[in-house]
Amino acid sequence: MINQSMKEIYRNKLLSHKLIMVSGKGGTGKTLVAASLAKLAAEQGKRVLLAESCDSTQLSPLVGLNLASHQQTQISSHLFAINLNSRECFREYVEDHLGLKQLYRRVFNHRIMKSFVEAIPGLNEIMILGKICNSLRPDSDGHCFDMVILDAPASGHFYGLVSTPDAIVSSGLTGPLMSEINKIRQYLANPELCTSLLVAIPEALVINETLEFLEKLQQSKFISVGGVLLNRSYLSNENRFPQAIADIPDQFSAAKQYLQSKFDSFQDQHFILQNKLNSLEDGPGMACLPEFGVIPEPLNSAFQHRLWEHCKH
Amino acid sequence: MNNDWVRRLVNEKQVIVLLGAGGVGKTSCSLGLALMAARQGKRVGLLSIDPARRLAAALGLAPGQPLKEIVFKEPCLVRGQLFASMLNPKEVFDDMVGKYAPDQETAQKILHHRLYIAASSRLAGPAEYMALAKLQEMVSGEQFDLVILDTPPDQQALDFLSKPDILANFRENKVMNWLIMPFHMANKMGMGKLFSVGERLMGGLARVTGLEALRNLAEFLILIQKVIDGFQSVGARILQTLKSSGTGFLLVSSGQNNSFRSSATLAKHLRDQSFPLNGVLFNKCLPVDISESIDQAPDKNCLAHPWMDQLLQRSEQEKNGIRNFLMELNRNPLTATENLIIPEQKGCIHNKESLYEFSFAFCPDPAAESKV
Repeated sequence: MINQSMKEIYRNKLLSHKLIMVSGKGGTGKTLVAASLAKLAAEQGKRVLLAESCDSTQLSPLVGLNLASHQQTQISSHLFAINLNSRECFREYVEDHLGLKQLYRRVFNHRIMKSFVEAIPGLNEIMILGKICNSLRPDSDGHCFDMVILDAPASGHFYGLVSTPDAIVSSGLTGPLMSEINKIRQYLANPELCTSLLVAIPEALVINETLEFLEKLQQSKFISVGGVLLNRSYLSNENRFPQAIADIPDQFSAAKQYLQSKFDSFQDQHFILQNKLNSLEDGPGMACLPEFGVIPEPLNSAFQHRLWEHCKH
Repeated sequence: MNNDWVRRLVNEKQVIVLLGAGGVGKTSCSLGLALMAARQGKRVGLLSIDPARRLAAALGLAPGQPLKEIVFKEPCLVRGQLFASMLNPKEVFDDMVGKYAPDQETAQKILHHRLYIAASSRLAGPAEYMALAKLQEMVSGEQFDLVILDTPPDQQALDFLSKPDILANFRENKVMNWLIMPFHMANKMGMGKLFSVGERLMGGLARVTGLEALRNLAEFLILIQKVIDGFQSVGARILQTLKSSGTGFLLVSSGQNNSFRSSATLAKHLRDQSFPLNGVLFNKCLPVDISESIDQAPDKNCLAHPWMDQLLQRSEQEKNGIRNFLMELNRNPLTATENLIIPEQKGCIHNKESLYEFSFAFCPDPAAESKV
């Protein structure tokens, strides 16, 4: 298997997709990667929608603007962000997509109907996915986004999200909504248009879970996996490890030991991950993102430069 | 930092619920806390929803299995007992259907209904609710001195806490009777005209989803009504357990800014729903000897090294973040929230030995404890 150069992956192939979903185990840096990647794509001239869908916005501190629920907010000339609300997505679907404004007002605004609709299995997921796919289609003015990058939920819930279209299509139900759902399913599964990134950190349990999740996703064929990002990496060419550790004054011996063990652990986990990915036929590429200690809020261009310039195997 | 409050909490409570965002080490902390209690001589039950598979395997747990004892061998001495269960949402839901469906025939109809098969893991967040139901079983069964619940990460944990109420509303609003039943009956009798409000609304929904899909859904919800009624009765008891003085809530946070924010949101939700917050665990913090050596550095020049500078920044983010977080929590001077700082462990917690060592982080005097 040819392990492509990360620069190639990130500059060309990855950013040629219409939709990138960033997932991985909790706490690995999905939000950071999504926001940072969106900024990178926007700087390259793409019109990008950076999206999340959560009760409490995670993207806001990184983009430097408060994302109120379901309000598309402009971050820079080419970058927009939104915190998707599934209820609002449903309203947009009924009112705008189906053109049934009156219907929405008469029927779905009803308090009880709202809670009933929430209870319909998979509807929330379909509405979110539908809104994302729709953002990539030209609107009445001919505008659309070149790319949507989703700060997706962590592994388990991400699988729930991407498996929903298939689950509903497999249930054999028919009707107007069903054909839409099938289109979404096909769109997600098209590796030229849509892909996912799995973010991990160099800890044994995380690497293990990431590899298992990768296998599960690849077998499902719901969405392709375009890359695995090993975040918080202790890179040898960053600050010239291990020479760098020797340079630390002796009064910080505890710190020296700590950093050395981090470096060793990173080497081990990186090796395991690299080996496993190399052994896969058609496996995703891998990149290492450095450990920064503290992330600037909002992300600034100096940080962006360091993060992506140092994409290494 | 005085961490005797953890031992007191473990002695006073019958149930402890751990909340926190993904990646902060909630599962490890749940295990560590449970083991610490077991080492004190207690019979402890731990319910975990989302543990790392390798850790679960190392402890001898498999998804969906009933409570299993985690046995420790010399030199890991445990005076009490630790039982654990890893919840598999689908299996638990199937279980619930079997338990609460009015008869076998209905249960089979539900389990084989294509909507159920397609979407059972999505039905109004049952996974978390099932965990609560399981918790209730464990508590009512009275076989444990302490039950510890490891919740799903972040916002799901909030749904988790409010679940009993949501289902209460569902029932109180008589959605089933008012909305679905007439629609269902009208369809069954082949009546073309929909005249009641409920039927009009369902007709409206049908224009969005398609009539057949909706019929299927209605049929399914009718089947499952009794099961929902069953949850309802458990729900009331669960809420009682959660609200009782015998239940404690702990927040697990890391030392990073995004974690402080998530934790603040969780703390607010606890307050809004009148649940107490008995303490905060700041996990994966910089080891004490490192932060101390940084604090004691005579001047900033020693810290000019890029890696030391990074550690300095991290140390400051942690210190300031923890201080501000606690200040926000303790705006009411009557309630000072206890907290415990747990340093990053030397390796992953990936087996019984490393877990045993980790459990000492929760004790007042690790040295004294280990001599027992």
